Amino acid sequence: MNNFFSMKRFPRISPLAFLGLAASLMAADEAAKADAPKFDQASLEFYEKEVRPILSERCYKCHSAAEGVSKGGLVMDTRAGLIAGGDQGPSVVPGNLKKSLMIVAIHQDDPELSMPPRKAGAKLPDNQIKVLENWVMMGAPAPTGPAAVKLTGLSQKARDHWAFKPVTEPEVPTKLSNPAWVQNEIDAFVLAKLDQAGLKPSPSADGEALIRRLTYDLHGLPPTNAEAESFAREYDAAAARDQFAQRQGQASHTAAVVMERAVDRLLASPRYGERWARHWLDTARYSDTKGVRRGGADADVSASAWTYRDYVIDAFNNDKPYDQFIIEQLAADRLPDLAKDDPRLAALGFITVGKRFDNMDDTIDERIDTTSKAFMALTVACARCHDHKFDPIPSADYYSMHGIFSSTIEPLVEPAIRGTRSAPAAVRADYERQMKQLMDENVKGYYKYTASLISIVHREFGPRALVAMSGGMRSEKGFDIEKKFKLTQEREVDGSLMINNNSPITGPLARLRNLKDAEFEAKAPEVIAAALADKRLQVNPYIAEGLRNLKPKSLEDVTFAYQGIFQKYHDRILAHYQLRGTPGRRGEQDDKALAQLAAYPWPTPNYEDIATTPMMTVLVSGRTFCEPWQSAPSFRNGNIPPRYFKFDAINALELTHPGGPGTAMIVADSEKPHDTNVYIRGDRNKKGAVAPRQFLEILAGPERQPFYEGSGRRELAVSIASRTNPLTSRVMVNRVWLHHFGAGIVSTPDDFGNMSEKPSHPELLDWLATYFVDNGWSIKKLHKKILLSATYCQSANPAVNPLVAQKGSVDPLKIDAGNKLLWHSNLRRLDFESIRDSMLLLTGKMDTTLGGRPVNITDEPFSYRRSIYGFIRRENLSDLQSQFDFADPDMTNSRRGSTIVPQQALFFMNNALSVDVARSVVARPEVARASSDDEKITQLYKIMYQRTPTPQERALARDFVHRIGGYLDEKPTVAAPKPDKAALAAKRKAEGAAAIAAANKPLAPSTPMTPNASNTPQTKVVGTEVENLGEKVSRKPVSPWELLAQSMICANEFVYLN
Amino acid sequence: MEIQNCTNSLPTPNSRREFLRQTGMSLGTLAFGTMVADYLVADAKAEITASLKPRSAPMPAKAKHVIHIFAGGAPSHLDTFDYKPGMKAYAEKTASGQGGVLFPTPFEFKKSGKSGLEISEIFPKLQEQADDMCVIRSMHSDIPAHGPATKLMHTGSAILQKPSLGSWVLYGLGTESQDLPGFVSLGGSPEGRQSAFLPSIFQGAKTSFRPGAPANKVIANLQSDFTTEEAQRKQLDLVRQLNEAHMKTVQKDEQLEARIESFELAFRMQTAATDAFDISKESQKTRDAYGKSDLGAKLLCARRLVERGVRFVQVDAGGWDHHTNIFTAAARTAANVDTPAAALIADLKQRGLLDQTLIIWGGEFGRTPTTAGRVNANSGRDHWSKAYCCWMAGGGVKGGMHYGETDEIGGQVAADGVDIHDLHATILRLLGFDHTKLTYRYNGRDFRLTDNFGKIVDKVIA
Repeated sequence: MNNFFSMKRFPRISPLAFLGLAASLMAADEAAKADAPKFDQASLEFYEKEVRPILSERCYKCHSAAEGVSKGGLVMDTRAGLIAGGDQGPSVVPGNLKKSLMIVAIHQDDPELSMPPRKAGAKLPDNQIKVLENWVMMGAPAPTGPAAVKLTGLSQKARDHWAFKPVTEPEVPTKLSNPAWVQNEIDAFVLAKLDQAGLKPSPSADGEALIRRLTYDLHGLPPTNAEAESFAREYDAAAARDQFAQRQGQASHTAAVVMERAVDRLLASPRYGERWARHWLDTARYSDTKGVRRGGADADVSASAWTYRDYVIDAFNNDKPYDQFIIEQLAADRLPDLAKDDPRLAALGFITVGKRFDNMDDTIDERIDTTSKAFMALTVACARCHDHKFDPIPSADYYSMHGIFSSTIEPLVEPAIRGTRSAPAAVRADYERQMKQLMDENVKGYYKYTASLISIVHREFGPRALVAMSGGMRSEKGFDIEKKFKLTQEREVDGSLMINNNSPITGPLARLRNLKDAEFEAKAPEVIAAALADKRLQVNPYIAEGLRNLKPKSLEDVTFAYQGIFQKYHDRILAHYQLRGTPGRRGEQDDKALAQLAAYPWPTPNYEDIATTPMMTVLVSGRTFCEPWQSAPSFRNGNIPPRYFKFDAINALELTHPGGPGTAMIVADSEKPHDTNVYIRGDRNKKGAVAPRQFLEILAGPERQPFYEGSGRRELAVSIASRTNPLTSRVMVNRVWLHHFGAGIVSTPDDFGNMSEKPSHPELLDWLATYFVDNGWSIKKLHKKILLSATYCQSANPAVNPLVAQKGSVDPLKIDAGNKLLWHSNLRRLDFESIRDSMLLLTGKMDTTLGGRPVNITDEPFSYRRSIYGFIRRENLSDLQSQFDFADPDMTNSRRGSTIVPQQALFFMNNALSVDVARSVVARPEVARASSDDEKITQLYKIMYQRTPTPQERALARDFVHRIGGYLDEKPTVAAPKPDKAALAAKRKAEGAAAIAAANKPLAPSTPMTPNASNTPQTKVVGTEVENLGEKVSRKPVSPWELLAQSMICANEFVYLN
Repeated sequence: MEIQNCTNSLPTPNSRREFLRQTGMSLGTLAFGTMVADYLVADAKAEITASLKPRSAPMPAKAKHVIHIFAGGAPSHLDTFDYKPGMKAYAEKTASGQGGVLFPTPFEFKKSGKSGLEISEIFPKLQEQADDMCVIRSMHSDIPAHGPATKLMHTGSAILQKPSLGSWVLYGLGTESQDLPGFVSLGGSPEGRQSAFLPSIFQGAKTSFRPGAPANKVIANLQSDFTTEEAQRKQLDLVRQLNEAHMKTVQKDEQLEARIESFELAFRMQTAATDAFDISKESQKTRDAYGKSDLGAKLLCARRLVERGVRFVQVDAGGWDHHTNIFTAAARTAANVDTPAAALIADLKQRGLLDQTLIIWGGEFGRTPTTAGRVNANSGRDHWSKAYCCWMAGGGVKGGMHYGETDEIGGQVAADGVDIHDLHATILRLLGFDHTKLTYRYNGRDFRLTDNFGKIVDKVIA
């Protein structure tokens, strides 16, 4: 499997790894030396009688090789272990109480370093402390045993947890009560458990329910009426045949053939990828913003996050093998045969679409957390400050991953990727034109802005230099100067006036500042002359000219002389700016001395240096304005004068214009990958041992080798995406299962550790994991296996279970109320996307464009794009999304809640989308042209519920429509303005025609389609929000038929799958 | 109270049924009074629904409601509630560990009420309520930056996404009025109302309350633009009938029943919330007492909400970031909150609600005892987190007292320090919870509002 990526391990150790190895060898060596002394019998007896009992009683529980635990990396049952110490350093230094951390800890003076822990009982009594101190002062006599055995993490019990054991390939059960029920292996495992519990499976759901369940499961949309009808007819007939055969004791699978056709059809549609990508985006904590709440919209928005989302959709649609999917998301930049515009680069968004923090360690932590939870359901991030409390993940393993991600950088330039720019040439040209214009304005803005600041420097250099030399505005002296010269704070200027001994501009001034006031007048000319003569300093000729004959009485005089020089050349410096800021005018044409003068305090780059692509991308990316070489002024320091720069507009253009390229939010390995030291208690200032970049010990075993290729990200990815990794396949299989059944085999999809519940069907989980890997990590094949099982097809109504129906002595509702054993299907509420997408589908206006820039999916004017294309603002999720249990995009959340709150009901009752749907449905030709009320009602049921109404339902609806009229005469809560009647009639007619035309469009096509990218912007950015372009829903009052249709949207049947 | 063991496990509707059977609750009670979350517990030892149904706290307590007035921007403790008369003599002197020069408060303080609690002259009305106020002078934190410190104040964590105080309280106590959201946010940043990993039913409802704006638009989708209330009533009757017919074809399930009931609640909420947010229904006298400002309207609205059973009201009353011009700016910002907050205390007291309603006022940190440059009319104070103050009133808090001391310049806590976790622990205790036991299991760990910290400030509890 996956030979393509498997790397031969060269028997070569990276220099860094070698250093690590050398360090540990040295430590072992020292420990061995320390073991060398021979102790007399009396000392050893003292140890055995006095010391060891204390250690044994109070310490070994957590720090003992015999017990198999070494919290904090410390073992205390050998002398070598104590001397080698733990993550924080040696526990015992013979003869030195202060350096012996054990002694420090038992005194409990330092809350950071106190042992035994409070919950493990009281502080050691004074006499015991004294014993241990005496022992250390005696040279820590103890039997010389083997060198320290370093254990990591927790006890053997924690390591023996089922999820860390290799995936087995269990036998498929054969001794079953009802073999005829079994459609495939899954059913055999499920039935075996049911048999054990004395339960029976439920019969299959009917075709109507099943096709609805299936279509929502794979597409997040309802079937069309035609699809539903034809499936139900075929399935019900086939199921009847099967049942008949089963009663004869024969296995019959004709219904499965009907199912298979439907499953194949649904899996082949692009709607499938849009549905399942959304599940993965919950896992990958996708958001279009970085979650930094300062710095304005441009700094917060990831304008190209959507390329990652589209990559995921594409991966599901193309059934990308899951192991490749993992490797690309973690290390697409390291793939062989990678083109510069390779679409796979967008996969790296997995790393970069997460929340950002001011502190890089926090951002790395977020990446460790997501990577380990998403692929392995491991909470590695719990080991940031200490060894994991429940799982065998030592802190050192956390820092191994830290090293990988801290050796991973985000290049300033995001590459444009292939296939993201399908708009016609004219649209692309329009984008280029607008972008060029904005970038030009930014470049010009740069010169204008620096020129405006330069004017201040030249005009006020004297006092400002004095302030700079006196410790700034905050100092008392600075304040006096500020007041005397009426200066106002100018952040960029004040921060940039570097008065530096070695500067050809300010060097002479800097050297003069050391003179005392009393001697200044006498000594200054001498210092100036020396500076001007200093060959290494090479004082700028214009400065030299201005200072040469100066006889200053004070430092102030010198700074004013400087001010005079700057002012004298001010016009020429500005001309120089002008020259540099003009395309095609190279700075070399200038007087070199003047150019040097003009470059103080900021460099003056040539137009081309700023206007080149990397520079502009830097502008656009909103990270920093200046390249490192420019150093100042730092425009991003909170105060960008908006009148000079167009950062917001550039970002908005990127986010909204269909003619722009999609770029990949890539990462790359840093030039000098490095290991991280363990941060003791998560504190970066307290460095522990080096943690080599390598895979987790519990999964890679004690023989693991450090990664040596760049950051090690690719090797990490390969280690995760390995068939021998016990977690990867199980975790993904469990997620797929979860989304088909509403409950996972393991109930916590993102945590398979010791704190998780045991799997309900461990053998089935392993069988599926094996099947998944053996079938090329194909998710589509996995779906098919699951969906074609009899288990999946069971009815959701427990009442039809044979045992419930018989009302016998065995009550499944008592034995397995929670349906852990799967004796029926679960009733499930649709999630936010399925609800909204179903509504869009019913309006007939659903835009089925595949992929593209994000839209607003909650507010008017409405977008009719599927919900996966919604703009997600992680730090301020829309209330609608929260109310419908959208996954919190701050971290991996693979399982949605399913709450019921009145705000959801208010949405169905009062939101304009609900009215939009009702109007559209009623205007559809099959409803509008229906010959009778009963026919209208029947059509409404077919469109909205994909079934025919019962006579009672028809009567109910008829009655409602006829009687409701009387209540509509009242004025609506918000009166709509009344246009004149003729105009109204014309408008109604037009709307009717439009609605009919819209309704005639086919509903969600089930066949693959080519992306038809929109050619006009669909959104605009207003302030910090993305708004759709378009019209709001008309506020005219709803009609009786529309009220009926809306009632059907409110009803349970619309939002529940059975 | 089993909440402490509550885990978010798989949706297992039938275990809830079983649970209800065991506890003798009928589906009717559950469906009627509760919006049921589907975070149910399969684990037999910890059966509890994450619901909004009101429940009593595990320990005896007076406070049942909270109004949190968040004074964002970081109010200066030295100019509000932490009087340092001794500083006058050291004006413009430098102090170790401080940039700039010492800046004694330009305001007079008054020993207020019978208790003699010292309150700055910029709060003349609050001075009259001193005997009901408990000032904590020894707040401290490590974070003098607005963003993370605000998050810390609201959630107990400056970095991670954690549930807000209000969400924890709602999770612990549910809410008394099912016709209104249990946790209402009257403005402020999202972290003040976020439920993070707690089920979203515990998130604070976002509102756009403004005095004079239509009350039926305060919550999104609160009322229909398209039809009449009467027609909607008939419509919901139809929905109920459709649902009953539907339920016969699937299974009798309390999830379905709860959803049916949620429409009834929503229908009542249309009226109840519109009424609760309509402060024009208050007497002129009451409205005058709260003043004409936005904040006055919000605090009056908060009282109406609490009176109707809302558990937690979050109010934003910021504007305290006074780097310059403390003299005029702090006085102005204080005036904005003085009248409304004093009116709130008096009003709740007069209605007999003060005892069960905890009012909290405070910001994210304090301000420096020094000013850059010189002391003059333009002087301001910079960020300072080593010492700051907040006050509480009602809800079982001792009135007319202060707790904790800072040093002679208000730069460091000198005695009885209270950090944010201690404050949160104390607030939870006032509401009847042991903060170490109000936990929620998420990704294999039991989380608390107070993380691994927090000690209760017993002395402020009456």
